[in-house]
Amino acid sequence: MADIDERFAAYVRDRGEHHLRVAVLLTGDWHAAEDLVQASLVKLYRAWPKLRVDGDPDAYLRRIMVNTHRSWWRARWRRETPAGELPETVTADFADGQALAAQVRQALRALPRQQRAVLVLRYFADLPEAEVAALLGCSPGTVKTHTRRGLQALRENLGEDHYERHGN
Amino acid sequence: MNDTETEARRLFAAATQDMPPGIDLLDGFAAARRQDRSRRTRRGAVLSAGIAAAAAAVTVVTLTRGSAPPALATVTSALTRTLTQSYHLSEQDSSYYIVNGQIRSPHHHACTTEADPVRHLLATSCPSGTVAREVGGYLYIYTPRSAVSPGKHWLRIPAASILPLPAIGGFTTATPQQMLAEIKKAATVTVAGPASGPGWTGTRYAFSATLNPGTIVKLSGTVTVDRQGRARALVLTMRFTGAPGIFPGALAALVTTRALTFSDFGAPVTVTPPPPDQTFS
Repeated sequence: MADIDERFAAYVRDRGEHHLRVAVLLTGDWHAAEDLVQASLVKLYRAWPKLRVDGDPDAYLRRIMVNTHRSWWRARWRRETPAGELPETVTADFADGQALAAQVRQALRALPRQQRAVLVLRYFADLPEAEVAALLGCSPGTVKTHTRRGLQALRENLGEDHYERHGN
Repeated sequence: MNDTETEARRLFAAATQDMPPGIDLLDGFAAARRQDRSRRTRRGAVLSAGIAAAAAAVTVVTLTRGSAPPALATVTSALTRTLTQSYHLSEQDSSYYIVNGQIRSPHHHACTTEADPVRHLLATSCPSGTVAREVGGYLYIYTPRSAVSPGKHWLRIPAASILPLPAIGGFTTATPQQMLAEIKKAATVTVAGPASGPGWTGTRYAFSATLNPGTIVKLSGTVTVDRQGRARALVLTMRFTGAPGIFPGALAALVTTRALTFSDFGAPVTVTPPPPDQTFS
């Protein structure tokens, strides 16, 4: 670990968990999320010396993660990742919180990738529409459309009853 | 903020509350960085000194810089040669979980592919409904129900934008080229015995490796090489074992196996792009 820049290590310790949570919403499972963050951190580290001291590594890492996830998704077109599908018997044994977490992630995974990214960046990373649009390379209007359709689809995927019981 | 947005925020927060214990990003980063540096500097199939030492300890083929052993060299050159000419590929995949010592959720998947790697042509179809084509620098994926462009059924992606998969997660969806790259990392390759098929004879090789010990993926399989030095079959099994935090609850392991059978080497491959009015990006 001594060969890792201490400032970078401090950043990972401070912000890594947040980005891991964003990653699990993008990918659907913790294993893939860890892969995504690790791969993105390696890319961030390569650019680390060029980042301004007062720069925003969060924004940079977020962009890397989104682009990396997009690349992985494109390469995984052939079939779903088996690790994302947990046996029902196991899910049923989960504590309520874990079951809800798994179901929400499963519902998110059912959304088109861009829609899912928009919802995660808007409602988990708390980014404004303009920033999400810049990050995903689309217009704010497209972000609005994805948001509206994504929320509707999420509600349908989770089921109205479930959504209302666990949501609000 | 409306109720729906509030609900989404609450659900997303809930969806990240089951983070498994044992994830150490810094530790994982150090390993990933080592792997990245190794990958960026490696030329050909050269294993790290540590892996080579492990291979030597189990008295099988050991790689050292600049002296590729016959078995691994034979296997990797056969796969490389296979993937530089047109071929027909039959693919059988299976996966299952091990939960409390029992097999759960077995999943099977089969596809057939015609490909010409030199001309970047590919046509894949699977009984599950997956259909894809690569032609003219684009990959087209058949999408029965597109939420983005209703009425259009072919997603078009620039083929050049498809990047290699990560070492671990990528195993489950790897292309033959990516599988070859992983096999080059194998710590051990041994001759398993003679093999034959319709119109050919050859040799079967076995390989195994444990990758990323921190996350524990065991890789094993066989490659069958014919007398012309072409890979005829490839079986790759990956076992993701139950390291703390990898799987929730009683889930102990995920096992996936991919079996590829190559044939019709050099046969002409013709792939046509979908109608332009049926594609979207």
